[in-house]
Order: sequence, then C-alpha cells, then structure tokens
Amino acid sequence: MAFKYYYEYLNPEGAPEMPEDTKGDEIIKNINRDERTARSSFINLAVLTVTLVFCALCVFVLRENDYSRFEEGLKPDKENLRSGEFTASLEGDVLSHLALEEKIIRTDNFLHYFCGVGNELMKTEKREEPEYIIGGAFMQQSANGGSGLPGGTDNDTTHVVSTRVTDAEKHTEGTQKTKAAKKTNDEKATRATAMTTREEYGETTTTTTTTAEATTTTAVTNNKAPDVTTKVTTKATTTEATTKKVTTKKTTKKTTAPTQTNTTASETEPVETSPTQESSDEETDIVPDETPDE
Amino acid sequence: MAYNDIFFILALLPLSVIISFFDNSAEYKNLISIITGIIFIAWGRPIGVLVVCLFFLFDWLIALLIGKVKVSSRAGASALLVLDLLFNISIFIVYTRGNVIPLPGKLTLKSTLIPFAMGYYVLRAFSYVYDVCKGEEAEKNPLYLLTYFTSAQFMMCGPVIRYKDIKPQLHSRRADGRMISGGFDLIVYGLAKVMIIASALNKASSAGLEASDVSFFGCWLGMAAYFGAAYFTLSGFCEISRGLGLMNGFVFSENFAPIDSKAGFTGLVRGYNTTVTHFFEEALYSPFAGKKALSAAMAFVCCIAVAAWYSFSKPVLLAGALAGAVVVLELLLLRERISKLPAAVRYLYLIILSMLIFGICRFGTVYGWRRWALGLVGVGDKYLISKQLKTVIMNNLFVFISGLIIVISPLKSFLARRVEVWQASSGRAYSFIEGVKTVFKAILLVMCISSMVIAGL
Repeated sequence: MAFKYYYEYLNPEGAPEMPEDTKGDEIIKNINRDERTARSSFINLAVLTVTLVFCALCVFVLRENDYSRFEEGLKPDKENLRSGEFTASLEGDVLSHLALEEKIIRTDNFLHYFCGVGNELMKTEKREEPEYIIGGAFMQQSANGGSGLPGGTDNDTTHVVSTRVTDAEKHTEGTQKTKAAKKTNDEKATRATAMTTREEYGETTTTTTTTAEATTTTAVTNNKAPDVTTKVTTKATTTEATTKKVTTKKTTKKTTAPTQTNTTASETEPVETSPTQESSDEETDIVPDETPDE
Repeated sequence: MAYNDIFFILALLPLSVIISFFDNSAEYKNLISIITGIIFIAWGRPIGVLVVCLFFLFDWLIALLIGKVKVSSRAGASALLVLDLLFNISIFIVYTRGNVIPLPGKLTLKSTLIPFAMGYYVLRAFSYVYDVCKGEEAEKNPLYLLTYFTSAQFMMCGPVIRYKDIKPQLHSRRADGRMISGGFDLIVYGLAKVMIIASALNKASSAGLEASDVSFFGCWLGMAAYFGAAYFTLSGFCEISRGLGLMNGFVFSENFAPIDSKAGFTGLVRGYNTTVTHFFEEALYSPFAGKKALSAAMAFVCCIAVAAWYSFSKPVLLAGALAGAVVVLELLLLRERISKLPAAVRYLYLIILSMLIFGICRFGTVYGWRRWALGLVGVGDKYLISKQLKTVIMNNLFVFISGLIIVISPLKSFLARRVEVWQASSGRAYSFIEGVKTVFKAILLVMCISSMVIAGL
C-alpha cells in the first residue's frame, strides 16, 4: 500500500513521462561491458599466472637433480674444502658442461705452458725410460708416438701440465714428506708433479720410481677420473695405492741412484693403504710445500 | 636464448614484468627492458651482446651524422646510408651465413631461429638509419635507442618494428591489467603455434617427403605440412613478440595478413611476413611505382632481395626469382583476369603455384624437387599414402584440424563471429565462454611447457 502511494508520488497523474535516456543506457551498457571484460581479464590473468607458477615449481622439482648435481658426489664439508677437492670437482663439472671444443682446451693448455703461467723449473735426472721434462711438464711418450705436448693433436696422449695444478698444490695445507725422503740426504730431488687428465683420454699412465732406500709410486690414474688426480705413496719396500676413482692397472719399477724424494700431493683422494703401508705412513712427516729441496 | 626457452618463460619474463611495475616512468621501464634484453641475448651467445653494442654504436653515430649532413648535402647522407647498409649486410653475412652458425639444412625450429632473428635485427637496425635519411629526426638520447636495439620484445622473429612507429611509446607508455592479460594470451597462443602445431607439422613434413618412401598423398600433404610449419613457426614467434610488447606497454602491428585470393600470387607474397616485405617494397619498389615497366623490374628485384634475406642459398634464390617472375607477370598482365576468376579456381591457382615455387626451398637439388613434383601427379609413387605419414596424421589429427581452422581465414572469422554473438546474448554466456577460453589457455600453457621440458630447450 505504501508502495502504491510512493509510486503515485513519483509518477503523478497527468505528469509528462520521463523521456528515455538512450545515451545514458548506452553508457551504462558500456560500463557493464567494460566491467565484465575487466573481470574476465583479471580471472584470465590470475589463472594463467597460477598455472605458470605451478609449471615453474614442477620444472624446478623435476630438474632439482640438475641443480644439486655438484653436491651429489662430493659434499662441501670442511675437509673437502680445505683439500681443494670440492672446488676441483666443481671446476671439473663446470668445464665438462661448457661447450668448449677440445681444440680450445688444448690451446688454453698450450698458452699456459707457452706463457709460463705457473710453470716451475725442476731439475732433470737421467731416466731409463724416455721421458720428457719440458718447462715443468712431466710426461711420458705416448704409445702412438705423439708429442704429448699440451696443444698437440694426439688425443691419446696424457697431457701432464703442472701449471695450474702446482699452484693448487701450494695452497693445500701440507704436503707429505716421506720417511724415506727424510732419511736420505742426497742432492737429487724429485718433485712429483700433478697430472692433468681429460675425460676424453682413454689411456692410463703409471710412473714408478724405486730407489735403493725408497720407492715412490706416482700417478696411477684412470683418465676417466675428474680433471686432476695425483697420488704419491712412499715406502721402503712395497707400494700399493688405490683411490676411489682411480684403479691401478700397471706399475713399472726401475732403480736409480739414491734420491731424496720430496713429494707433493694435491687434490688427491685419500689413499687406502695396506697394513704394512700404514705402519710406514705413521712415520711420515707432514711438511709444508715451501720446504726447500735439499 | 629464444622465446621458447624454459628459463625465459618461467623466470626472466615474469620477473621483468613484475619489476617493471615498481615504477610507472618510461625511463625506468626502458632500463628494465635493456637489462632483460642483455640477459636474453647473453644467455645463449655472450658474443651477441658485443654484436648488438656494435650495431647500436655504429647506427647511432651514422644516424646522427646523417641528421647533420642531410640538410646541406644529400649525396653525403646517401653515402653514409650506403656505408651503414654495407656494415649491416657484412655483419649479417658473417653472423648468419658464415661458419659462426651452421647453415640450416631444413627449415627446422632450432636451426632457423638465430639466423632469422639476426635477419630481423639487421633489418630493424638499418631501417632506423634509413628512416633518418628519409627525413625522420635522429634520436639524440642514446638510452631510448639502446632500448630499441636491445629489448627482448623487439628481438625475435618479427614484426620488424620501425623506430619512427615505436618512438612515442618508448617515451611514454603504460601497461594496465587488460594489456598484460592480452599479452599473456598472445604468448600462450604463440607458444602453442610453435611448440605444438609447428612441431606436429614438421613430423608430417618429414614423413610425407621421405625420399625413400614417395607416395601420392605424401607429396601433397608433406609439402603442405612444410609450408604450415614455416608459417606457424614464424607467426607463433611474432605473436609471442607482440604479447611481450603488450605486457610491457608496447603495441605492435600484426605481421601476417590473411590470404586475399583476389590479389593473386602477389597478395600471397605480400601477406606473408608483411613488415619485411613492406620495408623492401618501400625501399626498392615504391620510388618507381608510377612507371609500369620499371616498377615491374623493381618488383622482381624486391623478390630476389627478400629471398636473399631469408637465406643466401641457391634453392631459395631460385624460388625468389621464380616468385618475382610470377609477380611481374601479374603486375603487367594477369591481375585483372585473376580477380575475375571464381574463388575456388583462384585458391587452386595459389596453392599449386606456391607449392611448385616455394617447394624448391625444401629440396637442395633439382633432382629432389623434380621427383617430388612428379610424385604430385602420381609418377614414381609407390602407394597412395605411407604408413608413417598415416600414423603421424592419426596421432596429431586434432592439432592439424586446429591448424586448418587458424589458416583458413573465412572459417576462422565465421567461427569467431558465432562465438561473439553467443557471448553478447547474455552475461552468463559471456562468463561461460570466457571461462572455457581461460581453461583452454591454461591447458595449452601446460602442454607447451611440457613440450619445452621434453625437448630440452
């Protein structure tokens, strides 16, 4: 009832009818359409964004192994960091994923060698086997007679470059000086140089030097191993050395004049030693690398 | 990096859009665009940043010089323009046609991305200097020009954005929610074209045009799939580019016009990659538009130039020359007659001619092309359709039907009209259709990202 009066109040009899506001209707329609479009755009954007975030999370979870690959083999604990193993594995991993061609790597090695970056002078000694000591690079003649020079073209040659590795050696905490080396006071010194190997190379290299008083076995490496592996074990009678990633395939022995052996080790997996070796290791002194050769 | 790189889609793009919203000034947005662009370029090829910087410095300086010289000496300005042209062409040839990037044997996605992108880039850089020489003002603020040269939105496969067109937007722009949503849609559609449709068409093309397995339908469908793959790859990237632009407040023109059969073969050539053909047309053809014989000759040159821009190889140049010959014929004699033909005949004329001419690009040798052309009429065919092609078609039937709907523009516009009418009928219908569209786009996005992950891009 009240509504009726109200209606009559709004539309009194005889009053002219309100003209239809077509323009206003049009504007209202447009506003409605705009609002609808804006709402649907917002929903569209929200749904697509959520989908994108969901996809990103899925991709991240699926590829998590790729991101944490470095930590799989070697976790960055105190020992690894101090010995340089972790950084070496990291470097090796990064290098292996770079799209560097073999030629570029060889050129890089050659430039290091040629420019003398990190090269060290070392005293030469007569050897029965044909070995070449060039600018601190210690290498054996390859089976196929290749030059063995870094930057050379034969892939089968194990490139032995002391440049970068010896730098790394200096930064390692200590180097092992064997008891035998301590005992002998001869003038000759042999620095066991580190050995760089690439994944592509299939050969293994073994060098064994036996003295009257000391036997030094160096670098028994499988070239499938990461970038750099050097292993030095010294004992009076027998030598047996294995590493996690390195397997001994062959050793050759030779006798030379009494030698003082000053060995350095870097980026080496812990050597598992036989009981007899352990006893000799107990007597091994750890001396800094800076100790001058006597 | 490419637009269909997973890192770009999932990380760089969303981050750049979000960060660019922190400030509304065009300068800030330009800075974000520059940083994003440099990451975009450096991600795949760090040397690309140096090339881009070289382009920027050279073109900027040459344009400034032209701006100063052109008033006093027209010849001097032209000489500088020629110098800039030589510089751009030399880098283009070294970068795309030399040993830096291997030549694409076939028109596959990965092999063609970088050369094509470089082609667009060179054309864009040169177009700026060309426009300055033609009377536009040289840009004095290097940051605006650097945005134009490095932004990822302008970076990939078209459209060729001219500086004179984009200059006002570089100085002032604003991206609202609707633009971002629309841009996102375009990116999803573009990705779907590249990752789903073009990928399926490539498979069909390989199966149909298998040399050891020649079949009647294989010759027809294989070549159609080859054209389709080329079309969807380029048009998909163009859409992604436009979507990126919208998300950052830029509005670009479209790069692919619907086929107009009345315009004949000339219309088909013009409609594909329009911004590129339009630039060549403007530079080579338009100055002689009044003279019939000369303009026809320049149309031929224009076709050769466009072909050389696509690929500097013998088959593509030959295809360009043949296309040029047809265009000249149409300009001089056939244009009127073609427009009077029935629509079905016109489409048949276009399909057969384009297949025969552009089919050359697919085959490296005349022998291969001849064998395929004979296969079209059943000569040398072993059977009607190979088992491999049948499998590919059956596995991707829905994709091919979607592709057909997109390509056949009358069908596409008819369907779009029907949907619009339905949407306008009521608010509920509008909401329903928009909801379905959104769900469809979300599914497409998931499919595209899955394809990227599987492809390892």
